[in-house]
Amino acid sequence: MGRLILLAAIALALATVPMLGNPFWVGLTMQVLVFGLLAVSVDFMIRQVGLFPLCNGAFFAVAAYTVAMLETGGWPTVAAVPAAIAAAALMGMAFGISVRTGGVYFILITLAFGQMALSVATSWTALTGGDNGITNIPYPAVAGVGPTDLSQMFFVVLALVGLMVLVYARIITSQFGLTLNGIRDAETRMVALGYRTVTRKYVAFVISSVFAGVAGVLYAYTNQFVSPAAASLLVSVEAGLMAILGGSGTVIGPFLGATVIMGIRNIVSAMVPGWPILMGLVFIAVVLFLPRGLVGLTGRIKRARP
Amino acid sequence: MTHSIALQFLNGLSLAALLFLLASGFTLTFGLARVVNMAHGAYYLIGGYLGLQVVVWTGSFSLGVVAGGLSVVAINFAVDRTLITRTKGDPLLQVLLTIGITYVIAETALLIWGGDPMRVPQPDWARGPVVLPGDVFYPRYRFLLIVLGLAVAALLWALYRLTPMGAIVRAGVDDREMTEALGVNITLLFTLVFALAAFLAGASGVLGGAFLTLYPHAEWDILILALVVVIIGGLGSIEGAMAGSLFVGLIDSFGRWLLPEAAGFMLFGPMAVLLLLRPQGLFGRAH
Repeated sequence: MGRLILLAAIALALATVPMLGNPFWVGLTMQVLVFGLLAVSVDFMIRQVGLFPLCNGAFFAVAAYTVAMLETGGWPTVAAVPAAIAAAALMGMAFGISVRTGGVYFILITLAFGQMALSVATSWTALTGGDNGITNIPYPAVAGVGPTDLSQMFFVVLALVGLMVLVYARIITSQFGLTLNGIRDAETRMVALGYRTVTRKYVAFVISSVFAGVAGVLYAYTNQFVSPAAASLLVSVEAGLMAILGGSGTVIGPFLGATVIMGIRNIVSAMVPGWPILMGLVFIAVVLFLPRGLVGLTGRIKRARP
Repeated sequence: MTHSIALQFLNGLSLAALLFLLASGFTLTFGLARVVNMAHGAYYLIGGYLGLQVVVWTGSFSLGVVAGGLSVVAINFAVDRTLITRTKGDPLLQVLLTIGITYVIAETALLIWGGDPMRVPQPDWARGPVVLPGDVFYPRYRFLLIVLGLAVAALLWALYRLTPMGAIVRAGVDDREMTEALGVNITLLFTLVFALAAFLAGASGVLGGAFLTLYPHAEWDILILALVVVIIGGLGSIEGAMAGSLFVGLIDSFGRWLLPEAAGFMLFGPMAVLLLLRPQGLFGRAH
């Protein structure tokens, strides 16, 4: 209950951002929400299942590209969005065979799978526009009703990300979520208890791909432009960093992590050349000094434990 | 037609030779010390650039290769002692850490050498074509690279399988504590293997830079290929690295030639199928 109030308070605070009247901050906050949701999808796998996927950027990208292609091709939003999420889920089902492995193997295999998406995005020019990407993606509209400017779009994103966070909290506290924790901590024992652990990990993987897909849909609509940069390996990698940096295992953590990383990408990058060095140092610093993340540092926000 | 096939075959072999040099170090490091070092791509890149600089200064290609290798040995020694040891074997932290190191190294290289692709000048003795049986003309440099790759593979294999030193390394891969209990200085052994892996990574940057060029993001491109090599071959296996490099080199070469749009699928598709049948790779053992 306390956590719900906290989330509501954060949502309310964020709702004031458009009142500042500065499109830069509105845009940046939307990016944080979108990439925070992507980081949630990674955090789910890390924290609840104990696997570190490096392919969620591919789910993100395939959904973003699907929305971009269908919307610019004249499809209505009500058809484009489900198609995009379905595309991400299908990719998740295909890549899901990687849950047959674990540990390092899982990390490397998902990384290689994710890279496949990028190679398609850059080489299948007829479909994806190659390096030029797809431009002029309109705002979403259902039956002619939809956001018409940046601040209205902001509220759409805020509402949808909020909704996904609630769904996420529901999943990890469900019986299914609990069995995932059991598999993470003692897989052999769960097998002995009669659970089909691989199937459950597979389902979790597909759920993760759906969350990443929703983030990708929102990315396409807010950015109004999709290029291979969205499919870059770095998207997957930085989403993982956001999850760890924020404090893996909390609903709020991935968004905190997204705030730091998007801040570096959008603010620091304009000030100093060579800002990726700073990004690299953040990676290193997190591993050395903050393996429990920012939330673990303050310890004030309760862990999202089932 | 047969000429084109022969050329693609040779292209695949030369890429395989390069990938083997990079992947064998990666796989040995993992097999022995359970260290996942994603910075291998960055080692390739920085070794290549530093080697390029030495080639430009001294005019000697061989010196450049050695310098590229040795500089990465030094970098890796520092990185390992100050940073990687502090991850205490957690693969997630190792991956994040070494990706961070990749960012730092790659961006430093970009600031120093700029964003335009740079080619390491090939030595005079490797310029021009060789004529192979069947009147196949092939670039001498890439042909020599195949020969070098085969030689290094044979040498590494012999070292690993036939010498007492290799036996100790294999014992270390199998059971680290037991090997240590038998009185083997395992720390020294790790240091030696890490140095060898780093040297191969740095040297391969110079060798690869002479035909693939060095450019920003090359660190990721080459790392992905090397990872597919070790996934297919099996982590920790030197024979696996050989088989995997051949597979990836040939598929990549023929894929780009026959179906450029689907080259990615041709590489990763078989990997997925293999994964279904043998999750631990061709020569790997279940971990």
